[in-house]
Amino acid sequence: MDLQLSGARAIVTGGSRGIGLAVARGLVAEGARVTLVARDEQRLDTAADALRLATPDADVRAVPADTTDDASVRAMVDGVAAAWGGVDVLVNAAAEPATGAAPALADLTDAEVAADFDTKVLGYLRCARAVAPHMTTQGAGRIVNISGLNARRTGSVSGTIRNVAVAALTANLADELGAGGVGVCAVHPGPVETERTPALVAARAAATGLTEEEVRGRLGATTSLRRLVAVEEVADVVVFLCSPRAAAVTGDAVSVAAGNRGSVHY
Amino acid sequence: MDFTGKVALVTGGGSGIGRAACVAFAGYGAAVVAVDRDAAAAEETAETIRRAGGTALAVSADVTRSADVQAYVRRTVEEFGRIDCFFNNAGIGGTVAPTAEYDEADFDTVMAVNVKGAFLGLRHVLPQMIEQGAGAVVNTASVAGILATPAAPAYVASKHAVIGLTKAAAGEVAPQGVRVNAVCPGPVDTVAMRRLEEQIAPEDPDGLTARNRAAQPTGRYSTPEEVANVVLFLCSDLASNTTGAQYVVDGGRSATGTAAPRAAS
Repeated sequence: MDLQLSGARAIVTGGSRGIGLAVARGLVAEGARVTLVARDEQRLDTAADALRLATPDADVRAVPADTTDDASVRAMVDGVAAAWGGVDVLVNAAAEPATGAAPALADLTDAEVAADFDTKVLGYLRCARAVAPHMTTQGAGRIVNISGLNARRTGSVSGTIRNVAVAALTANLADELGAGGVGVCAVHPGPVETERTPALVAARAAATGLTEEEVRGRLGATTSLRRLVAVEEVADVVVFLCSPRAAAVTGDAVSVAAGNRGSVHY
Repeated sequence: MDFTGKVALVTGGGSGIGRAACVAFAGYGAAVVAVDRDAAAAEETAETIRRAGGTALAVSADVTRSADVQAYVRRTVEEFGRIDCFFNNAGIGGTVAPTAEYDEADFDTVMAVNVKGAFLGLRHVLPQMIEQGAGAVVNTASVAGILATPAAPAYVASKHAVIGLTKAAAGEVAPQGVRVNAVCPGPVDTVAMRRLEEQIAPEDPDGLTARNRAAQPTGRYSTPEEVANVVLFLCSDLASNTTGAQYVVDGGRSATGTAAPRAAS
């Protein structure tokens, strides 16, 4: 299937590592032009260079920006639009990943919840708000919000709140921007194996006295497939949702989680 | 473009345009030697390439010192046997002041790095290329090598000199199959450009950047990769009869004057 992404102008936030970087790699492989966005300039440049080394013909840009700062987001989007004449795809992936066990209610601070919300929900909103005029002007565009499966699970108050909020944002954006030809989706990754996972597993093993193998087994046990999800598996679905081939999928969420074991979605 | 089996030597390879050229050469298959005064920066470039499965060597050198230049040439030939492409790129901007006030020591420093450094690179790489009977050199000049930019007399003079060195060398080595060209970047999104803007307008570098961008017909600076693309083209067989030339990469600015209004879009 040709995803019709050749030459597409894409912005991927959180693009310097993890799911964002994997999505960027997938978009480049489909011939899209990609602007990677992240706060850490050095990590960003290293990630962009890795993409360029793998695909020297690719048009990859690295723009440092902080999605908690609206001026920074607007400057970034204006720069991309000036360079490429528009924006076709936005992937919102800039968020702190859930790590380790969530704090108990008594230990959860307002500041932590507010910071998570500011980065993920408002950060996604800021980026969508900045790209939306470019997309509606051309009558087409795709926005994919990387949410999290804890939108559909308990276990982390802040994690569930922010990801449910991302789903709510997604549906609202889809309805408002749909008239302008723009589709907006959410993807709920399940337990994903990223470059951060080995350290996380080692830390959890040290804390619990389990072997790393057992820790991985427990992480995967919450899924129907009883395993972690590869980051490329998430990226493949996101890249499809970024494509014009997925135009009729909007306002909805897709989980890429190896199955949310024990729950029924209907 | 295909640089498989080729050896590319890049000075100033630790940052900006030089780093972008290292990555691009490696992406197209070349073994890369990244030379920089900042050893850690050179190593960072080389390590990025090696992590992606490419071949790269980092060498730290001060291009104003003949012994350092000879050492990076020798190291490249020892390691890879030849030098197919030489991006003679290391350079500095110098301080910002009009000629009537320009500091003599600053003038000497800019000329040492930008002119003597470029000369020494040619002086010690060209014999290797002549011996090979093949090779391509690209010197980093600047739009300031063609037109004067205000309050940068040493930089302007040095980049005019780089174009002079390019023309002089090109004619001499053309019969031996060696090509020498210059690339003339306008403003590029690099740390060096940022430092320059902070020097010119310490109270409002962002405002200066915005005005500079607005003065570009394309409305933006070049990326280091866009300059590197032209460097690779000039080093490639696609440019096989191109020598002694200078190529501007500046978003149309020098062609249209510095205050070209942009059409409303």
